[in-house]
Amino acid sequence: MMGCLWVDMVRARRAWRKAAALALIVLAAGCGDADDGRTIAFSTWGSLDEIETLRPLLAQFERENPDVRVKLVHIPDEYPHKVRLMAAARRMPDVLFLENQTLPGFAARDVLRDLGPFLAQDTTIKPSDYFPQTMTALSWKGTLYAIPRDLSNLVIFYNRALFDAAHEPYPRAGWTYADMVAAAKRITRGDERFGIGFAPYPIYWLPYLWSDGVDLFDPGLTRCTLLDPPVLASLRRYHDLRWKHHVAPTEAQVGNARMSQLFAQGKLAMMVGGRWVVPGFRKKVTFAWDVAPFPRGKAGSVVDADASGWAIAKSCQQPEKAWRLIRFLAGKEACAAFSASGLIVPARLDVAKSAAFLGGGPPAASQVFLDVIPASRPTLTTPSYDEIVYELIDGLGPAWNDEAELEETLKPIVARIDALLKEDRKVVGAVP
Amino acid sequence: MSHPARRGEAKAAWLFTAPALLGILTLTGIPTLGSFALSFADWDLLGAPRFVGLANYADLLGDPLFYKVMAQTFLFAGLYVALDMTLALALALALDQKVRALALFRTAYFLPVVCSMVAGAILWAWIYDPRHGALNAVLAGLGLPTARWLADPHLALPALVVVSVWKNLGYDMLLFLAGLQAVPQALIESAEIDGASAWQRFRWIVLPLLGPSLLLVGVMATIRAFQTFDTVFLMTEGGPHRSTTLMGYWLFQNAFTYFKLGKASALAYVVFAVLVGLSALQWWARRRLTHLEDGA
Repeated sequence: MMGCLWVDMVRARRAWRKAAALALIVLAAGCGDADDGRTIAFSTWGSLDEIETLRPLLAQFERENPDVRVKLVHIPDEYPHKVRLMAAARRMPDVLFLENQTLPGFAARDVLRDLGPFLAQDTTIKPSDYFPQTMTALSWKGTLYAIPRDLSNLVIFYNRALFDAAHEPYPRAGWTYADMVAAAKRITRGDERFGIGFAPYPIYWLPYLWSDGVDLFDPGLTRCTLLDPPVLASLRRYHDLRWKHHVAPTEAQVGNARMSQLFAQGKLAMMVGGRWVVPGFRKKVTFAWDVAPFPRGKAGSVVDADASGWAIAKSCQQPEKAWRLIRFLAGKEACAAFSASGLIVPARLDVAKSAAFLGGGPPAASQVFLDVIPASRPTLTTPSYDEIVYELIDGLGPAWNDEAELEETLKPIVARIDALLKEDRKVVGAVP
Repeated sequence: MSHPARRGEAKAAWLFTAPALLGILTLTGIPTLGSFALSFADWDLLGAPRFVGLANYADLLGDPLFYKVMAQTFLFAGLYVALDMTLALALALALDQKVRALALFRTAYFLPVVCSMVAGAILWAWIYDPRHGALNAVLAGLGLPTARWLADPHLALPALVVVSVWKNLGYDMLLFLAGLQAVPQALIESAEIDGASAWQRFRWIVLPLLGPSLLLVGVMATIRAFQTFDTVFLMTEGGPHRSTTLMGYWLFQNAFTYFKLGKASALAYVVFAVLVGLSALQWWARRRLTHLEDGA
């Protein structure tokens, strides 16, 4: 009953949030910034907890820089939409928090400043302070457009208590897909307890492809490769978790419940997830849990190395002040503050290797998030990526529910993605 | 030609309508022209729009999804208008009597109209929930097969039709009630004396006299159906398997999720053309109804 109520509440909240976000979009054009020569409008997304962390930092920045006022534009939902509408209304924020998957859309339209020269002249931060993957992720065609705050990647979260009860050794570096399935089989109990999570969103199944050395697109982003036999075989291994090995929950078994919720309820032994679930788990989860690297495929254990960071708009009238804000936020002190709640993997190497990230609560093996970085790379992205993701989530639904054959289901989706990629190449040109 | 007093009246009329007219011109007229211009441009909200001629229209016509969405929208509108008009008329007839607690019934049926669509969508999502929903609980209780409703590509669209009908039924019922109350009682009574049955009285007196109401409700319901957005946005996001992607929602997706403002604007003008065509058709049908009315 509790579960049912929870699902309902989540749905109700989601519906209200969506309606509110829509209202925000409509109102977006109305929000401007006072152009008094010292105010910097700074837009960001994030939960209230994140904003609570941010506000004192901004206050400190203003104390240290009395000639700058920061106007925080907090957009909790539908962030890229609102920022674009602000841009269309010529009210683009001066400093924007962006993530690498939406960055090309902005960069290709030439609305962001090249931050390379700023970074080259700065004495407080330097490129080698950050994981190189984050710098790559926040660049477009060789130009750096944002200074990274965090690196976002995926690992396996596992319930130690369930592994202990099944006398199963914990997942560890070097384990394989077969090891994972075998452990999941021994832990799964009918409709009560499941071995490994399953979600239709591409971010959760892409690591299975990458770890086999294949990807969603060809490197030039000219076509979708999902129907190529090796890629299809990889995708089928994800499908198998539900329908061949019966270790992943089906929609009929758990409805639309999120995997992180099933995990927190102790019903899921393992799930693929990112660092962002950690603050919630620290508060809610009562059993022992930890993290391990994603299982190895033919090409190793490869997950994403995506990143978020701060950019300066071309329209910004006071780029020097905007840069001072960015270098403050991207500095060691602020980065440690952002990392304290457990929400992010810091983009700064010094903070990542400090207690600010490695200590402070479970998971004990936080080092895993760092160990997997060298083999990881940013998600290949393109201006139509949102539309492609929608097609993949909605279109593959029947296949994930085993109501339609995977290959047949994929054919129209792949044709559609190919058409979108063609459009994108017309708009933003070839990928370097 | 015109009397000075009348000219003064015309001036006053223009003055009084000026605020509304100004609002319509600036808030509807200009954006309408703007979106027409945008339908010939490539624009993603960033930078300046780029003129592309008829490329957006060509893109639409070459997109298989366009035909799927179009067909679904017509299916949705057909189901919606038929169900909405039948139920609204039936309710209006039932409530056009001296029933006890009449005001209560009329209020009850009108309630969804004033209730927020978000709240309505949450309520219906609960009703349709495959695992914990009220509908499946009732069906199972009666020993009938249950379904996955919004998660089933074949049932999701009809399920949304029901929600849309529920939402606006009360309004259309009121329009019919107003129409019914304008039917002269004397005509009905004389038909009754002539021995006309209840069905004959309805078919040959009430229905023809309801012509204007039928036209009004029909046109409004059709426009509403083609503009449907909120139910889809809140309940299915166009899925599963694109089965509930209606024109209004796809337009929104193109404009504000995919940032293809040009394609979305072209789509808006295609919808506009469809609505103009359908309204013309309804006017033509109305002339036939009037003809019937004269013959009666």
